[in-house]
Amino acid sequence: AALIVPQNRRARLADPMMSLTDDPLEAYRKQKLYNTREG
Amino acid sequence: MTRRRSTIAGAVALGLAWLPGAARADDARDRPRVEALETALTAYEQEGRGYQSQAAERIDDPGSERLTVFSPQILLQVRQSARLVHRVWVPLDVVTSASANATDVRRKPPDVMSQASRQNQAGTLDWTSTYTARRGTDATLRSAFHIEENFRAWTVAGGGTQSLAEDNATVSGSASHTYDWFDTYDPVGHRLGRSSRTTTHGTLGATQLLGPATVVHASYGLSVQYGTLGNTWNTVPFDYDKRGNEDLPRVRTRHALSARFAQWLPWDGALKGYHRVYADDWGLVANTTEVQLHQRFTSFLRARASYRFHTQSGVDFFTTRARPDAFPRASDSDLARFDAHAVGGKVTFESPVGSLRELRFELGFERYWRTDGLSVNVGLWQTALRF
Repeated sequence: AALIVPQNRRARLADPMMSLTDDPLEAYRKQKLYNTREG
Repeated sequence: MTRRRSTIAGAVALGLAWLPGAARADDARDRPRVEALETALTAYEQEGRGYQSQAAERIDDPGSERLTVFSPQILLQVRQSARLVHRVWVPLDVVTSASANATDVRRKPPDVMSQASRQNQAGTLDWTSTYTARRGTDATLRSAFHIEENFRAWTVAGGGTQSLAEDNATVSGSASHTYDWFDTYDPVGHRLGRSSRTTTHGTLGATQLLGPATVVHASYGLSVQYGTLGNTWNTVPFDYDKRGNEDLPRVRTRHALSARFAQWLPWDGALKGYHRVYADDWGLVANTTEVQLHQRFTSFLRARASYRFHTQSGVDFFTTRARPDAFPRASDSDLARFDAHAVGGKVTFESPVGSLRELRFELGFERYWRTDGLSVNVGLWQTALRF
């Protein structure tokens, strides 16, 4: 299934608020909070 | 141990030196330079009770799960050349807990009933190198070493990413192997020796732009674990006011399928969603959903609010009172049936300052609570310098 956005129309996608992944420090905080308390 | 680590680091460095990008590091334009320096301080405070803990008034009562963690982190990103970038990340943890009390080697036998605190320091050195073979094609190598009072772990990993259709779609894959080596204990806290476990993991993922304001991602991951899969100091209440060690199967196969999206909002905001389905061969099935709402107020100030819901079925052999011959058996509240909620927020200040491309400060808080009574408060302070 993985379905063209021109480069000049991607300004919004480049905003850090639109990032699909957490930065490594935030990801570690989540790992410690959730993964060590949920089976 | 030091010699072994030096050998591994040398081998990885030698391997990277053979890459075409590394050879260009002599060019003036490709001198190694620091791209980013990030730090974080996180504090966790947990309250709760679980049958695996012996920190209780009576032997068959659930014991305290009180826990505080202070966790500083530092991350350094260095670009060696136009094609090669390194990320060195060091998280540290100072843990004070009640239920892990039975492992303190300085007390024989340890007072697991009334000493409600015990400290453990832990740290990890994690080094990731990403090589861009050509535009849209990246390969990553990662190695990590973890150490704490009674525990060592080594991880090696590799992965690749390929962009397609003018970067409108991306496919990625990664694999890792972790070896854990740790002390084992009897229910009274006497050290018995050492044991180990391995975790082999693989992930495949795909990301797709659906428009100038929408992006989606899906991934599937498989983990296979083998060896001693508990921490060995967790216990299970028996009849007649006795306790025995938790006794777990030696193999666990875990599947996770997840999807996420990000949608730009017209008022300078973003809505992000995440859902994950998990199942393993211990009988545990879980669903997790998270929603985040981001809002930019000015060019240098933005905020985030988030809510997360997690529900899990519990493993087939969870019990709060077992027969001594029962196998497998576990009373760990993390393996029980429960629902969990988390509500959080974060404020971010970011701006170019002087020669810095970006100076960023972040302040956050999160409240996590489970239907079995466990709750955690988390405070976060984060900084970043981008050069």
